[in-house]
Amino acid sequence: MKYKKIEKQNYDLYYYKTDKFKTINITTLFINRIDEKNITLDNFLSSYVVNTSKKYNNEILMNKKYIDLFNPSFSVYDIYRDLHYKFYDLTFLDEIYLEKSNNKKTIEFYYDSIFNINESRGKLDRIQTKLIKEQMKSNYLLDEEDPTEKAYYNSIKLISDDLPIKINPKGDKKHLKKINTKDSYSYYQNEIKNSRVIVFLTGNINDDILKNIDDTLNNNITNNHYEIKTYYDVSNVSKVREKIEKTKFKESILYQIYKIPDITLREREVILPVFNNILGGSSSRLFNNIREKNSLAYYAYSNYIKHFGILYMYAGINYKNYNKTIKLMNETLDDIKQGNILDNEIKDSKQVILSNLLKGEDSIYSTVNDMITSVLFNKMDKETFKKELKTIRKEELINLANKLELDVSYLLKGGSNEND
Amino acid sequence: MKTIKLDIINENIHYEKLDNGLEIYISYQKDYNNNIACFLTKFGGLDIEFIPIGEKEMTKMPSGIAHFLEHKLFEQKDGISVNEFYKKSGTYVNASTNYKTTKYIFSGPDNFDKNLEFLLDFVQTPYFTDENVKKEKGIILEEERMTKDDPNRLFFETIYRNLFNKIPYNNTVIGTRKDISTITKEDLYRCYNTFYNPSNMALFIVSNKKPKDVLDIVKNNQAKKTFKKVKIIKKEYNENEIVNREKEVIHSNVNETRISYSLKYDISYFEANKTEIYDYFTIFFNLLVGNLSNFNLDLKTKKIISDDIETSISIEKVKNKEFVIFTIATVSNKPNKFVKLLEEKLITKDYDKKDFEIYRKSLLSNLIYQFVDTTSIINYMIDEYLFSNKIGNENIEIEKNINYKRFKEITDKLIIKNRSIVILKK
Repeated sequence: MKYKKIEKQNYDLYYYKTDKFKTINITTLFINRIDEKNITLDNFLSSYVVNTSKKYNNEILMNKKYIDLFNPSFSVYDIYRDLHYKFYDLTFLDEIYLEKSNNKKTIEFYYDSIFNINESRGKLDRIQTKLIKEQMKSNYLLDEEDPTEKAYYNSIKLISDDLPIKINPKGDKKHLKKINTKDSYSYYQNEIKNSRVIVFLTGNINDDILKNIDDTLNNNITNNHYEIKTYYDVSNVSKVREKIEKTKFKESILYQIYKIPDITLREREVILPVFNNILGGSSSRLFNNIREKNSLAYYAYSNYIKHFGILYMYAGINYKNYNKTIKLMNETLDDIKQGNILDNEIKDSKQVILSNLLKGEDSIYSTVNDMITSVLFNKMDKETFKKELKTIRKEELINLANKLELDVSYLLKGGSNEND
Repeated sequence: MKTIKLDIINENIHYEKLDNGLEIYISYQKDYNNNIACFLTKFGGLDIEFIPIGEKEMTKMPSGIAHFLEHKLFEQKDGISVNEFYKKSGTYVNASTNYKTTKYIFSGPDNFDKNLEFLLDFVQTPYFTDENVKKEKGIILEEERMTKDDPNRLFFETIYRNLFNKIPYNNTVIGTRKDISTITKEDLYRCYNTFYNPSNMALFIVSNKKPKDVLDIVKNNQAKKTFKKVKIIKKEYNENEIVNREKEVIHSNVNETRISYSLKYDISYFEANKTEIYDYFTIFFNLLVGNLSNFNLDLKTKKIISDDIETSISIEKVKNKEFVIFTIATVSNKPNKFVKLLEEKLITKDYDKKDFEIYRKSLLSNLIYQFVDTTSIINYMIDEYLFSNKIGNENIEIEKNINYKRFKEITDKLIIKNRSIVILKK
């Protein structure tokens, strides 16, 4: 993907012009310092912006405007690493399929929602604030009903290093009470004024669109700079953290989390995806050993977080099979550590990764995500990645396997009765 | 091969029905890398009573058998497993079963010709043994345990169970643990031979290969196989408008209470075709109680609900009758108060006429959004086929001609009758 960069006085703009998609995406990113105390507030403000604005001051008026603009998808979400990244993501149908001037109107609406937040005399709207807090409270309670989410966050929290992945990006319902209309507004204004802003634009874009964006941003933001940290190193494990958490759920969910100290750049970017696919992708070692051969689980997979040097295996099981599943997970990994990898496994896994790259080119969301991760986190460009992928050797996979150190063994314990 | 030109969105769908009865729908998308195919059989969780092919008596199968069969078709007699075959070309493969259908899907940019042939072959070559059936029971019992932790699934299953007197919605798609444990290879073959005949199946493809070439692959593959002509006889249910249960409170490990309010009508009551009913009532409920309505906002402000009000419309066909079901659901800690206010709203029908025009205008964009990627295109084709039993311009024509006069004619007929309420709480 050949995207271009335009450096503006107050912001950077990256764009990828293509007529492949019927939609256009604008993602405006605000990067600022992270304050863990404010994560719930960040989530609140993200909801506030899409539900109300100065011009369309309640959710009915906002919803009518969305429909009037032919249903653009507007979402705001937050990611936390070394810094706080707030993404304002807008995807809308190109006006060539609709009516002239709809692109301009949609972009105006989008930036108006961001820069003209619904406030009066330095305070956010009281009723809208209350409504959004209520909705968030309900969502937190609904999230707690989901065992998979609970198992993931509770296990990740046990990792021995202090990594930002341990932050739950959704915040905490305990902090909702502290959100008030005055402080929230000043916090939002501060974020808008003091952030580094980057705009990502994808689709059949033209000069009018670029001008619309530039006119708005020049008047509303200032130039700020924050250095982005790309990779995190993890320490060696001194003691495995084990936890069994009893719950009301029927299913038990097992997580085994591994740290990868001294991981190299090539290992993070190229070896780890292939290794993970062999270990716990679709039709993988874990899938075959735990599900197909032993009927212990409906799902058994692994996944990785490359920037943090973390890999984890997980499976949904009956509690009575807990020890047996751990044993199988350990044996599966040990087998790879001892060098038992077939050439075909490497070849097939590479093919899965290459196919996903090609499939991603069909999706505007994948295309945007590629551009964002390349710009922010130095994601390898596709051509370089493909070349690197070709050169993978079995020894590199074995070497990576031997770097894995078990850090966390966590079980969300469900009902143990077989007849449950 | 017939070409169906879809108006407004400027897309073509290519159609052919083979001599063996298999219907094929192809969307040619030359600019996409990806190819998707879905092989569908009209056999789902509801189909447990029927006369197996070659037999004379009506048989009742264990619940969950369609879903069990879906799992077992991934087992091949010799050679490579289904998952391994597709992994070699980096292709995603999966299957799913609901109350009425079972679908087998692959999706990937490479090796399309062979992938398509293999899809037809693995679905059309069953291999069940006592041993592999036993092995699968362990996996499915774990899946069943997992579904018990999903309160929304329990809620949905209860809504349907309470709406119908005769149609066996009292059976879940996955089945009971007891029934799953009793399924045998003989049961599976009897179901397979009855419902996996090409005349009961359809194939949907979105591909960057020319439609003629795609069709040739299917034709050549099917020409190598012989299929008996079958007439599927399923148990017919004398369903009527009366609901099975007017109100039920169910309990589960939930933090938030859900409420659903459903109405059931014989479709002839509205004197309109089902596409009109679907389209006009979709608008109607959005204006009346959806996120364009003051009602939704008022109830949130008064803390009667804590999430948006969602509405869904489904059509149920039995014998020569069709029923339309409207379901309105939300999260509410005051479910009885919600029902009272909702019924007042359904009676007064006070919505803003201006909103009708806003909504009508956006229907065009909804249609274009159905054609923004290969997954949405194949879903559009499957949904259209299952709704109308074909894909054509008829539904698009109705959407083009939506008008307020007809809207009033149809939606004014709505009265409160045959209601069923489900409350899910701790």
